[in-house]
Amino acid sequence: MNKAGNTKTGQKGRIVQTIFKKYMIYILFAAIFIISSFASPAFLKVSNLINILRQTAVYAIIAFPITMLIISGVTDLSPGSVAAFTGVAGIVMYVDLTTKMGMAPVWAGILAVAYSIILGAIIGYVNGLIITKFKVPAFMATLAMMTSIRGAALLYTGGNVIYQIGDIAILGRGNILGVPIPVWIMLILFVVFAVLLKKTMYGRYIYAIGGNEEAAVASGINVNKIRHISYVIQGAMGGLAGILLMCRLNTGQPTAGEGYEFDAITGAVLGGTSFTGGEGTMFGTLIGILIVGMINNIFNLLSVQSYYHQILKGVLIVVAVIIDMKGKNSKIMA
Amino acid sequence: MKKLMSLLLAVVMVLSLAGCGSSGGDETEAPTTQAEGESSESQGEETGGGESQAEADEPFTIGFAAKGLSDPFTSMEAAEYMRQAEANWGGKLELLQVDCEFDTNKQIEVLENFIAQDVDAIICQTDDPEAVLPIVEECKEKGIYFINDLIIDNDWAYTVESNPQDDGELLGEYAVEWFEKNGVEDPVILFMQGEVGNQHANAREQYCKEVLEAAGYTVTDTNTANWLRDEAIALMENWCQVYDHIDAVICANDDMGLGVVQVLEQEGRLDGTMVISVDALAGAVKSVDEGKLTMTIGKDIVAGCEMSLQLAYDLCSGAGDSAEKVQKVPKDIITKDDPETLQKWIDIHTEAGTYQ
Repeated sequence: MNKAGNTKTGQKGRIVQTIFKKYMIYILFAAIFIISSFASPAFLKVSNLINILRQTAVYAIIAFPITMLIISGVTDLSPGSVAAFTGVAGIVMYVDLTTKMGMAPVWAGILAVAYSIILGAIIGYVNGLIITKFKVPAFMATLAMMTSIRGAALLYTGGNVIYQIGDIAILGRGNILGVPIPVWIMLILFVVFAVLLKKTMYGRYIYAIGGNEEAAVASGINVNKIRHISYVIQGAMGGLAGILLMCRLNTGQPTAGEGYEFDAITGAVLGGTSFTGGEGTMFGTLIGILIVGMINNIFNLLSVQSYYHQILKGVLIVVAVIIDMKGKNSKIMA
Repeated sequence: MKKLMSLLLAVVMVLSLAGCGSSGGDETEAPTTQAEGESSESQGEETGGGESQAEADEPFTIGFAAKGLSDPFTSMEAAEYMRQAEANWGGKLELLQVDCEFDTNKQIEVLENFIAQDVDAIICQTDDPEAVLPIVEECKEKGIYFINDLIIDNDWAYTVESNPQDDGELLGEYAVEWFEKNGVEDPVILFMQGEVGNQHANAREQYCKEVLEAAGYTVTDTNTANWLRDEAIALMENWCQVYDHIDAVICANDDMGLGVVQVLEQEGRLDGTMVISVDALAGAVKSVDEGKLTMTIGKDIVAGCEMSLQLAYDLCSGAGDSAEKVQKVPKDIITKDDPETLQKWIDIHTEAGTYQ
């Protein structure tokens, strides 16, 4: 009787835990939103809410593919540096095409964006190659890429900032129907990645690999190929984020993008993506990134020292991982 | 549920801290009310804005985008802004300070947020003058005054200038003078850069080298220590292995200069070697006083902050129509040979509580 009672209580506890884990992110989002609304009268202004979206767009573009990597059990620390390198490279190309070759800004802009994305994809391909072919742990491989590519960005520009970037800056600062262009891009990519993850074979493989890699191999999934593709996608999105970032900065800055991977990973983990793999959603990541953006924003509005901000971001990511690990452990115990 | 509550509590606690920091913290926001008796007289004398203030019911809100509080110099300047706002402008100006963490994108975010808050004016320690151009345009549309420390190519912006070009030229001119005075021929000159790619680092290096080259001197070696003393120590130790004789080490900031002095002193090679840098931090002023660091360049922070705050108030209160678009902050060459200027900076740091 007693045993049966314990089992019942245990089941109840697990159900509560599951519900809590599932909805934690939304409760947290709502809590921060409500607290921020009371904390600063400027928070709820439409212009400020648009600011939050605009300011999170670049991070989200990096966070969507990083979510897929984390779900499949690996990570990438190089997107910030990739964004810097590909961004300045794209800007230099645009400036050269428009000023030296006299190309129309629209075509030059399309080519420059494509160039940044392709460069990013190549870097992602190299990352994937090092990880899948040479079996270097993803953490080390992408850490090495992070520092090398940052150096390459500085070398490419001679350490200088690229000025007079021309009309391409509109990509970072322009609006369509009152919504900033980077936000449109973020929303489109959100839909694309959500479909990719939930509705395609590739997405199902990602979950399978992260859930149990050995079982995935046994069932005939080419793990290396799927991971390699994920790194190429991550690199390409790093390239897109890079050129958007430079357009937003109105300059080509080789030092930009530092630490962006941390905010992207924080957003993904806050959004319920499990660091042990196999779990996570794009919607969760979007909400997680918006939480990071809201925290950045409200701390600015309240003129709070950045020290508190850094502490809170660190605390949030650790708490999110602890909750995730606890959930995993209790599953194993059960 | 326990976990949920603890998580929410953590967030609420930190946000509460934030609230405390913003409303009561003397580092982040100048109080808007003050003991009127003693302050009103001094304000009238110091600011000359007494008449306009009588018309204003509420203090003008000024967004202050601090470039980065992790660097000793910019942090010292930010602290001086807050100190003056509290001491001289209580009830007239409410200064909201946000740290931009030496990140141009972060600075743009901060400025966008200031605009969303409808501040009356923005004071910006600008990271990149071109990157903020669209923001200045937005300020113009909304009638928010924009004051910054670098020349910006926009007629709406006011500049209380501290141009890194001046720093570079002053470094170069002093070095040339020192070589000529000490009869040094074909000197071995080492240049220690700040963070490569940073506006201030690039300008200090470029203009210093231009002055040296114009005088017929060539920099023997250049490398970066990223503004940091620990990296400067390592770099200088390595340079000491490479060069048997060093005549001059020119550093882009004081922190690196002090690291260089430390190594040269340890190696017994400080005597006869010129070490010069920029910022006039308390440690650097003390080192000059002790005869170790040869020279440091001091931007008169007190005067610069006074000029910016006065300009902000004048513009917001409608008294700034005739204000100069560009105002230069005075800079001092601080050496042991000029005891008056040296003492002035010792006094500045003593008053700020940073001189030990």
